Amino acid sequence: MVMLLLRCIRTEWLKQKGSFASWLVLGNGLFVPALVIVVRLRHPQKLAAIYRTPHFWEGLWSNMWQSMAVMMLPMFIILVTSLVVQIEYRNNSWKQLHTSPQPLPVIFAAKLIVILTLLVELLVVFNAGSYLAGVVPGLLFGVQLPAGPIPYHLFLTRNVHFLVDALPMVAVQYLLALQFKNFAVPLGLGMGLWLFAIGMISWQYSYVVPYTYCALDYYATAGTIIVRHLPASIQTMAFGYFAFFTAAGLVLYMTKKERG
Amino acid sequence: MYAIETSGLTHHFSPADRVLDDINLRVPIGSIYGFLGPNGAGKTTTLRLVLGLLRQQHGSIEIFGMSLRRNRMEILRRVGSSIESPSIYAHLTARENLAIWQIVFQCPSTRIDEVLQIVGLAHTGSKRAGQFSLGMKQRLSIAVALLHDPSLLILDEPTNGLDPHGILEMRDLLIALNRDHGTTILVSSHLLSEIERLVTHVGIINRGTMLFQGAFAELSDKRKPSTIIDTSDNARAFAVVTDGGLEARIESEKLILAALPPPDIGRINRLLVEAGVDVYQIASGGNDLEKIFLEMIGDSKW
Repeated sequence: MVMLLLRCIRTEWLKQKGSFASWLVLGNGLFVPALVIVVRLRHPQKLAAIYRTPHFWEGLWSNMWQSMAVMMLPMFIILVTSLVVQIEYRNNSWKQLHTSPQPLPVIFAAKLIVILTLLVELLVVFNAGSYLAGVVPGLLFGVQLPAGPIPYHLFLTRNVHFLVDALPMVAVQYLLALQFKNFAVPLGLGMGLWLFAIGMISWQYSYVVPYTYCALDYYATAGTIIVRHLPASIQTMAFGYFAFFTAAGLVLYMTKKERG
Repeated sequence: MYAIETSGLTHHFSPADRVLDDINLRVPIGSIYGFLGPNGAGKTTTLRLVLGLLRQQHGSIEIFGMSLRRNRMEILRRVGSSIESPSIYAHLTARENLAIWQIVFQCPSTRIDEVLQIVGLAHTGSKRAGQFSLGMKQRLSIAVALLHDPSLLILDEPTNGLDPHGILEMRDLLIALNRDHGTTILVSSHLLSEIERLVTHVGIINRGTMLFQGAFAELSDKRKPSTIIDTSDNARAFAVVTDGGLEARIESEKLILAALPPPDIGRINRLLVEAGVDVYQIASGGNDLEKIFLEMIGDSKW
């Protein structure tokens, strides 16, 4: 079964190669860093002061992640999940896939793993971009770079947290994308849920909507929102929702009346 | 044992819409089975059920003597298929498309070149499949179906989009596969003329009901030989022939008689000439299969 899964992941990866999903990783991951670089290049006189700031890297990280956690990451998940699944709908290839000797749970898992891998890729690109956003303006204008060490451990931990926070969104969007042939449906529902989540972020029970987790985690860490009454940590709840919606998605996928 | 054997296969998409009714498909091993019927007859639904693309409601499906429900994986390893429109990844090249299925079926990578050669797509190089013509897409879809050298090939209207030359090539390819590799082939079509020189067995379906099933020779036996006469005055010729004690009818501006022995043909010709009717042509003919097929499905307007 493991070999079957590995083979299936390989084929799913080949399918998305060269598709819009790969470009989405680059575009989404580098958008905020590029924006920061452009803004700093427009005001080079401020660079020296910025680089002397204590905890420069933590500050940069916080600025970058605000857009990422609240907007770019949810947008990416909504789009990339639909894109990966749409490869089959758009090419009329569900029927070919479902007449190949691969168990349905393996196909389901392989596509999900590809989506999660693209999500990890996004974080890697975004972190590399964040580093470049920190050093490129200084190097271009000969300003001495921050002396303090880069807090790698902190960044890694926070990355893992955001990745876990995003899991329920991945599971829900994957479930929707598998159920609807029309690309606009999972996209519209995802955007609607995301807007709903953003609108209710300050509500004390906002944690019941898993689309809030990335933003909630960011604002709670930044101290912008004081989160009380959480029944468990955001990551624990995220894992719970992820497990539930993944199981629901698998059951709905396996019990579909028509498979292409 | 049959390659495909269904028993009492019945399916409906809604309670009022029964699309298949008690289909007992019998595809002998080693045969080329033509599955014929007009559009909407239930061919594709049957094939989708046989491939497990639709959830079975009533009846049973056995492939190579194994229940599809219980042996799906084992069966699908031995089956190649192409159902309805081509299933290919438009953003990938022909080779990349095949590479995906080569990994799935674990067949040697040399098979990719072989099947590309077979379907005449070896020259497509880095061209993406989305830029292919419909005929090329159809060929690629068939290459995918052939890749793992299946024992059973299920093709739903495989000549859609192919030009006349492509149709001939496809026919030759399927005959060669059947002859040289013993591949059992189930091919659906709505045109009998398209498959009559290909199949060894035939099944005719209309409105979800199987109307005929058997060896192609059995269908051929239903042809009724006749004598066709074309003259300058068919109404006068009709009178002459019937006065001579023979039964005739006028069809498509020609006189149709039962098959006649050569002496009778000579006698009729003489009678017509003596009656002042110019005889343009006397030929032997018969109900072509297409006509038998149309009569069977009882609707010549499809």
